[in-house]
Order: sequence, then C-alpha cells, then structure tokens
Amino acid sequence: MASEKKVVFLRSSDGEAFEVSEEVISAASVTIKGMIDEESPSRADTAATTTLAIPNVTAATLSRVLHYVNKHFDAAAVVGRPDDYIFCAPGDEHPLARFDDDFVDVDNDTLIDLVHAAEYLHIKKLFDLTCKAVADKLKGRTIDQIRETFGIVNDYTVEEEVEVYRENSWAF
Amino acid sequence: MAPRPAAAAAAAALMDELVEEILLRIPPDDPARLLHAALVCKRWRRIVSDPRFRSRFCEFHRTPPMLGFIRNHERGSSFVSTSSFRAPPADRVNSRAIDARHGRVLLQSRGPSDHNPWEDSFHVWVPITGERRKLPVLLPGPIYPWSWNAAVLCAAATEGCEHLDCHRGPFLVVFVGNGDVVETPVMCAHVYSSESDSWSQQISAPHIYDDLGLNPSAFAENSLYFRCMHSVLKYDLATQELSLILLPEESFFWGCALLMATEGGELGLAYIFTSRLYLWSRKAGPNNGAGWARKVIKLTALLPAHDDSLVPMGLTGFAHGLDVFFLRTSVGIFTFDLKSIRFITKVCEESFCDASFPYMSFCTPALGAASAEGSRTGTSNA
Repeated sequence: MASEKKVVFLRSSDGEAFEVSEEVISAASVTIKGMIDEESPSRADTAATTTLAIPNVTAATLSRVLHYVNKHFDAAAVVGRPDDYIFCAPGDEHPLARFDDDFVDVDNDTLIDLVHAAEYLHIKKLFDLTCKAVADKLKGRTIDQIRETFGIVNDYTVEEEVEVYRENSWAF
Repeated sequence: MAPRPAAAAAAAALMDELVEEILLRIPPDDPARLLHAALVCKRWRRIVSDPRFRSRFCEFHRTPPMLGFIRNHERGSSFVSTSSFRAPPADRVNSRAIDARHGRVLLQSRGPSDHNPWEDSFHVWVPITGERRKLPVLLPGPIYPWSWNAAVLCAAATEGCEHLDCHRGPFLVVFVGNGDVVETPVMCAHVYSSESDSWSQQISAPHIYDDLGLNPSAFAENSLYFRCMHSVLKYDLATQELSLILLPEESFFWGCALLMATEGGELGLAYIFTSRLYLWSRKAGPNNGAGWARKVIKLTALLPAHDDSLVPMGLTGFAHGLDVFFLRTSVGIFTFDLKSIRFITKVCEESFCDASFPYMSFCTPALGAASAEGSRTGTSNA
C-alpha cells in the first residue's frame, strides 16, 4: 500500500471538489489532518477515496490554497528545506520566495479570503505569508487610504485623533 | 473612490484576532506604519494599545530593530533616522553621545568644568519615549580629564535579560577612568544604578594602567570593554573587577580600532586598513588563556569600481546583534552588513563623524490618554 499514493477530495463551500494528495495536505493543514485521522478507522482497508467538506472556503480560494500547498508541501516539488524564510528580503535565496511574492500579489479581497482560509485550515506558513502581505499593504499609505483599502469607517472624534497625534508627534 | 461592498465585507469579517496577527507582522523598523494602523479606527487602536500586543510584537520579531543612530559632530550630536521613527527634538546641542545600548542613550552635555568634563553632565535619554534622566554629580577623584569613558546598559544584563523591552526598567552607567593617586597610576570605575539613583564607591585597580579614549564600548560575556591606547580595559559586571586585555601583536592600527561583540558573543576588534576590514575575535584557549583569531574582508570588491570617492576611511560604530558596521567615507556614512557581507545603504550625507551609536529598540505607539477613555482600561505602553 505504501507505494500507492492516497488522495482525498476537498469540497468547497460552493460545491466544487478538488483532489489532493493525502500526504501533502496532511503535512500542510492541521485541520484537514485532523479530519482525515477521524475518518481513517472507517476506511482503513477500503480503496474508496474520502471527500471532506470545507464549508468555510470557496472554490476560488481553495484552488489557490491547494496551489500553494502543492508547491510548498509536496516533498517532490520542494527544493531544499521548507524553513521559516518568509521574513527574508526580496531577492534572498529561498527557492520559493519568488513564488510566494507572486502568490500574494492579488487584490485585497482575495488576500483576505486567503488569510481566513489559512486560519481555518490551520496552515501556519500560509497564514504567516498572507498576514505579512496584508501588513505590507499598509506600507506607505495614508490613514485615509488604509481605511479605503479595508472599507473601514473612521470612528475617531477630532479630539481623540488630536490626542494620538500629540502623544506621537514624532511620526507626523 | 468609495470602498466596494465586497472589500467592506471582507474587512468587517476580519476579526480582532486576525487584525492583531496582521499588525504583528508590520516590520519593527517601520513604527510609523503601526501608528497609522492605530489611527484607522478605534478597534484597531484598542488592539495596538493593549500591553499584550507590545509584548507579542517584541517576542514575534525577537531582534530590536535599528531605528537610527546618534552621530557626534563638531556642534554636538544628532539623531539620524534609518527607519520611519523620528526622534523627538531634544536639547542635544552641546551634548555628545558617549554610548547607546539596550534602548538608552548616554549623553554628556558640555559640563561646567573643563577640568572634570564628566562632572554634572551625564544624562540618559530614551529616544522612543523622550524621557531623559540627569545623573547625579560624579566625583571620581583624580582622573585625567582626557582619559575616561562610560557605558550605559540594562541592569539585568547579567541576569539573562533579552533586552526586547527593558527600556523602562532599571539601568546602570559604568564610568571608567585613569589618573594618578599620589604619583601612583591607577585605573578606576564607578557604577551608577538608576534604582538607587547614586554612584557606587570607587572600584580601583592600582596595578594596571593604560590611557582610555572616548570610543564606543562593547558588551560581551557579562563584561564591558573599553578601548585603551595599548590594550582593552575589561570591567566584569559580575565580579566588579577591572583588568586589561592585551591586543594582538600588530598594534599599529589600534588607534582606529573599534570594539565589538562577535556573533558568537566574544570580544572582537575591527579596523580598516587599505580598504580591507580586519576582524579580530578573542577565542578562549587552553589553560585559561585566550588568543586572537583574524579574518580579513576586502572591501574594494564590494565598492563600485568607478567611484574613487567611496574609499572607506574608518569605522565609526557597530550595531550589536544586527552585526552592522558604520563606515565613514569621504561622501557620507554607510552601513555594512557583516552577515551578508554587502554595503546596504548610505545613511548620512555628512562624512564628518567621530562616532556613530546605533539605536536599537522596539517602538510601538503611545496611546495612553487616547485609550484611557476607551472601552478597555489598558494603560499606555511605550
């Protein structure tokens, strides 16, 4: 059995099923590994594949997540050790640094969906990467631009704002 | 442009924990970005102002970032920013930096006495909070006014403090000097403790002697090291003893050598000669002895070949923990990253500089008064 590659199907919230290697997704997602472990006694000796419902993640997001997972957690695809490298500067040597940069170069909604998916599926590296990418979106933007980007309404009173400005005058 | 409904929905769905995770990943050398985030809305401010956030932020990033450095020049000293942090204006005219470590800067204002320049003139300044404490008058006895040095450090430095967030804790200032006591040369030290707000009794070492100079000191292996003319003065914080360490043989260039702590935590020395960086580290040897190991880095290979003006003229400072050197050239001050062996950036246009004291500290916004009337009772950090 060891030579046979087991797969599982993940069904997105909008009903689309995605095939992924059980070994790869188990290494990536704590949540799915837990689901598979729960399922396994009932399917120990059957050849039937398992379909797991992922009710919080849409097909669009799930397909991106699996693209990431296959790139980062498929031992055959990964070059070198999957170390904690995401805080390297751009241009640093990690072979997947470029892939990661491109992966998070998406619009806000997509990115925030990925943050949610990474959190729900408990994929730590993806969670780190996407949270960092959102933090990078705050760079060099004015406070108004940040509000606009994230659709946030300013609920500060003028007095409260002035107080923060006064306490942190170095930044303005 | 009005936000699209989808964006609004996504942001609204970002629960506090996720906002916290995102803000946690703002690079620590961009404190202005964290402050801007706190000003986005009161919910985000509440997250940033929670004292737990600051401690998580420090733990997450581990190494305090370099926010800037203090450059001594002919008119006094300036805080040169290398990050989005801007030091609040302080009366630094007529004061020079003597040391900076663990989030604090030791300044010396031109005192009332040229005879004893240290007298009535030491201040410890915390740039991220603007706090400044004047130290009581030090009367160290017969010390030559040109032969002394001093260092500031966290009082828990020998007790395993990681210095992630200790700038509000107790600190020490160690003053060392040399002079003549009844025609007997002597080296001595006095230690100021912020907890008692007083200087210690004199710790003297009558059998050793060398001339001290005002160069950046180094902290390694629970000891402070000060460069002398022919040796290095060691002040052991645990035993409170002074001793001299002999330099490696070729002592011709020690006049421009810079003390440092190596990556391995040993005492190191560095100097530049003919565009080469010479690095010495002191390795423990057999029979309680210690020897020096040398490494040479050719800087010319790292410089733009066509730019003759970029000749490194000397080392002015070293950022401990980050392993970044400050180099003086005829066209300004550059930083040089020892870990990646490359020049990073020009950090200052001015080339005149006696010494650069890198300032490393985490900086999170002060949100005290603004938070006090908020829904939580959390008090201000920073």
